[in-house]
Amino acid sequence: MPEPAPLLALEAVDAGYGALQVLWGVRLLVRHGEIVSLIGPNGAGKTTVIKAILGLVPLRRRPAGGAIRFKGERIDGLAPEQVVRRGIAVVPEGARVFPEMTVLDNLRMGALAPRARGREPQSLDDVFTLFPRLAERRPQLARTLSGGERQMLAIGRALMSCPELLLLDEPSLGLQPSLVRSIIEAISRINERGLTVLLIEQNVHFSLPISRRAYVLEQGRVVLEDAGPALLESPHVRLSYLGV
Amino acid sequence: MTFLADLVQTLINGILQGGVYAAAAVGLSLIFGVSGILNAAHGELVMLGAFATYWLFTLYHVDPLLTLPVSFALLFALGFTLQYFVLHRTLGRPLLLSLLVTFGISMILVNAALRLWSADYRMLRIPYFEHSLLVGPFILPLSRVVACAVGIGMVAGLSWLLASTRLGRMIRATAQDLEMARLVGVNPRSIYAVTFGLGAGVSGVAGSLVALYAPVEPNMGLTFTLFAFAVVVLGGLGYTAGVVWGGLTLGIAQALTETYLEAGLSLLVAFFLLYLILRFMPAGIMGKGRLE
Repeated sequence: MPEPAPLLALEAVDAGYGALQVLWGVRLLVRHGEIVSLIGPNGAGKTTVIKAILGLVPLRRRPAGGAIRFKGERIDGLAPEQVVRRGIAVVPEGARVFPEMTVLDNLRMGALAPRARGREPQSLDDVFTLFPRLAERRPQLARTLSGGERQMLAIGRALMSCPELLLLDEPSLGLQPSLVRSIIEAISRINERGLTVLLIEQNVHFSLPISRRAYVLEQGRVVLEDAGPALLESPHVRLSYLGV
Repeated sequence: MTFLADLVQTLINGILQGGVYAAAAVGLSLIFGVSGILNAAHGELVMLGAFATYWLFTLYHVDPLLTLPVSFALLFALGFTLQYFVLHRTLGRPLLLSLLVTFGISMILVNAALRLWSADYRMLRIPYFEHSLLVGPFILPLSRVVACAVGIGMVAGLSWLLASTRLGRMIRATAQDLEMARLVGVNPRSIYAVTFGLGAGVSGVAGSLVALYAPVEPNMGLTFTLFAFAVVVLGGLGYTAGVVWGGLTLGIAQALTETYLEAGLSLLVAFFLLYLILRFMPAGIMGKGRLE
């Protein structure tokens, strides 16, 4: 029997901003139920990978710059709102909560897609169980939240859409280590409930042990791919990302 | 005693006018706050709403109050279409471009109206709106009381829609972070078009309210564009409910000028207030405007 199609597949993706090409032949697979990490130095193009998946950065057209498939169907060329409605949710860099909206309204914004609307009350309960802090802050404007709370809110908002794939771009950026740990634990718990995750995370100490597989991106190219914990032991990663 | 009575009557007149100003400005505020378009054709939407009511009453004897939803629907459709097919192309470009395009639209609308309906001043004759409520020594013309109450009610309704409905959340999210709104599934082109439609619809209703007590003519729009702009800035840019405070301030200031100075100064008053507010309270009377 043939292997089922991966949930997400980047096939030799070339992409960038106008004349500036950032990604060069990036191949990356995310299978159902996995946590896949994408690591690499600043400027390697990690965020561009996420933006390309979401349709915020176009693939190169001539010659055709590869393809991106979600559940076997091509999603490159779709507008961002069409991509997310197919079942992909994102926690973008810096959380990007809606600042002048309450915590509750931010979460409700996550449940726009028709298939998520019916499940809104149930999803809200789930999010408040995962992040009890958000339940306390329900009527507060999002701009009054701390950095950690904003990340929780952005993750909660993404979960409200009942996605099949969750993209996270540096969810622990700028947080103190104890908060980094609790965010990573939350991601791990979300994954255990069956949600597939693609994670960009600088704190490889936290992220690689929970990752089934991981890719190392350097200068827009995938240079290494391995099981997460194994990658943590590799000399290249130890030298480049842990400084040991 | 007569001085005090005069003063109170003047304040009443100002408040009654101010409620209509709020209604006539809220659409401009909404559209600017969400899509950043400064709609120079704003007053023409008010004018079209006024004509809708005038013709429905004159030709088909529809009760003027029943024309309000029709006025809203017609102007919503016009606004939605304009944004979806024309103004959509000005988004993300300099403010001047949308100002020029909407100015062109205003010229087209004014001249179409002149061509169709001539430059005559037309006045609705509605028997049951011709009396006034008498409260002690004070006179409250029924048509103006109704216009003010419906106008303020409409602003409240729009604020409720923005605060408490799914559509309202989508509109606010788009205004706060366009890219993130798209990333939760908002189609921005539709949302901008619906927002413009709503703004145009309430402006049309404001025009219908004006038609209850004032003459209707194709060139009436410009005054409303200028007053609405003043009202929005007085109330605070980007703070939709602020138009109530801005409208009342302008209405009362104009009424005071008419009673105690000179009747022809209403436009000057608007610009003088505009100057004062920009000079001393740039976030609006309530200080709740967003400044960028």
